[in-house]
Amino acid sequence: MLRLLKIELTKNLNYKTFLVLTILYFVLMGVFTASGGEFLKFLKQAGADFDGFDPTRIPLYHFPDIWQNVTWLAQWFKFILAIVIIISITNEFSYKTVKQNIIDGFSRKDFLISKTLTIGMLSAAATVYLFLIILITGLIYSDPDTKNLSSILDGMEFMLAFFLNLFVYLLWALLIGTLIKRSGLAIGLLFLYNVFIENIIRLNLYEDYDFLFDYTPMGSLFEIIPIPYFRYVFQEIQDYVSFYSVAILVIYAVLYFYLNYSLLRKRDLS
Amino acid sequence: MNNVLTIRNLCKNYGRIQAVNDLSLEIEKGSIFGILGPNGSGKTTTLGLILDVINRTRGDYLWFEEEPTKEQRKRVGAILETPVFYPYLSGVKNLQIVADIKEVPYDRIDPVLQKVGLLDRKGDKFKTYSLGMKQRLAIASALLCDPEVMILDEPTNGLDPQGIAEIRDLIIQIGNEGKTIILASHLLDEVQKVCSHFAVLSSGKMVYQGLVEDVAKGKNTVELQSSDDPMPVLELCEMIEKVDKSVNTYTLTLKDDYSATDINKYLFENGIIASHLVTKKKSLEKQFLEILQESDHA
Repeated sequence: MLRLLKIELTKNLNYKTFLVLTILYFVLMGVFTASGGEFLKFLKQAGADFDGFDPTRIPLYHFPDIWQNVTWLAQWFKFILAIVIIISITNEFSYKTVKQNIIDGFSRKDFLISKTLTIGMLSAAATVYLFLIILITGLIYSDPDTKNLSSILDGMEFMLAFFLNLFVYLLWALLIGTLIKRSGLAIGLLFLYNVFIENIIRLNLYEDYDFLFDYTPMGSLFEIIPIPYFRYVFQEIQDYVSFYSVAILVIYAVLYFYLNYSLLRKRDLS
Repeated sequence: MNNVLTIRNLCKNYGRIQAVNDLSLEIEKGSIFGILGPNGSGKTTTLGLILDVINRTRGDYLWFEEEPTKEQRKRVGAILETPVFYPYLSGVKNLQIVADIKEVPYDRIDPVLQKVGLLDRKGDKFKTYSLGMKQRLAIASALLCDPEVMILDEPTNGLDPQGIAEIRDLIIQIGNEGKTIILASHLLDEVQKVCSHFAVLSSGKMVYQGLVEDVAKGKNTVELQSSDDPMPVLELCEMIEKVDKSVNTYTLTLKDDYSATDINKYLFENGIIASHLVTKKKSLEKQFLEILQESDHA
């Protein structure tokens, strides 16, 4: 395992595009997720007025709300890492290095595991990073009465949701990369599917079938971190991570890995 | 018990095209085995099949007389077609990846780079290397695991004459260390100079297999020059099948089992003194073309 990860690290850490995009991801996600509290202050200063309601009193960064609020926002940056993963896999095909890796003594499974480990490591690093951001900003902006252990721990399951959301999405990107083999086309398809394909199907189906989209590749990713902000306009929201949405994503992770493996196994790498 | 590689009835179809057709082959430990064939005859496909990068349609193959696994590939040093490395990584980083895949310690890297003469460029990115350097890095990478078998596919492709000579010397040197080498090439001269065994492929089929030294056997050709006129004597000689004369050189095609020694003796006994008498080795090229012609007619 460690050996496979080390090989991937040698491939990636010396690759400028990988480094630049990964750093960009961490910087952008960090800036946007950490600055919400200041943004509310700015709104107040600019004279924003929600029917006489002081925007800084919205408990965006208060425990336990902060876990869901911030992870929901943070998940949107995953597209950058998906590009990183697609470039990393399509490079192996265009340089033909996947073939040489196998000639040298990798099995196709070794190759796939090494890529999956990279995805796992990136997802874990992003999760730890976001955890620290939430913990620190939470301690800064929370009301004194919510700065107790039980409030802090409450809702921390959204970190698991964030990890799974990112991990499964990156496995999906890896699968598209293996399927298409060319970086430009693969990124295009990823984007197209994300923005249009599922949504167009959804718009053309009767509302009765809307529940199906809890189970689709993109729909299930949205399902695990429900939109939290409507609670501030007195709507009821789901403020927990449901067991079903976790189970669906775990199934997707296994499915993507398996599909990826069968693609690689059947392919002639010439 | 000494076979490094055994191939049995191996087939690979691409749709209706049979790239490799019922190929069977045995390669003994310690031999330098040349696989010859025109472009598109299935050489590279065969190597791809035995290295598991191409899936076989039928048939099987054994490495070291066992079913193939990735562990065996770790004991094989192989380069197929053009050298393949990560262009943005330095030579040494590229070899670190290979070393990690093959589970070989990093301290093997400098010696192999030394051997191919790349030690002083090891920190430079692969994409800055010349074609000859890329080829030599590929050989270094194949040598990294101190392999029992080396597979080289057109190792001198695109090299200048000096580069070709260097690579050839390197192959002979490696062969002398007792390693088995499988060399695919369409450069017949190259195969004749370094190989002990050879096989000829044509349209995915094996049309010939034998020893390189046997190529020279059979009918000998001898070149003769003399200040006397040897023609009357030659015409009477029973050992000679045919005489071709060009200016002052006579090319004698001998009947089976006769050699230049017999001719020399015969001439001397008949009062002709040769000033030039050379046995012409039959070239692999000639043999190769004959084999291909025969297989086309078959």
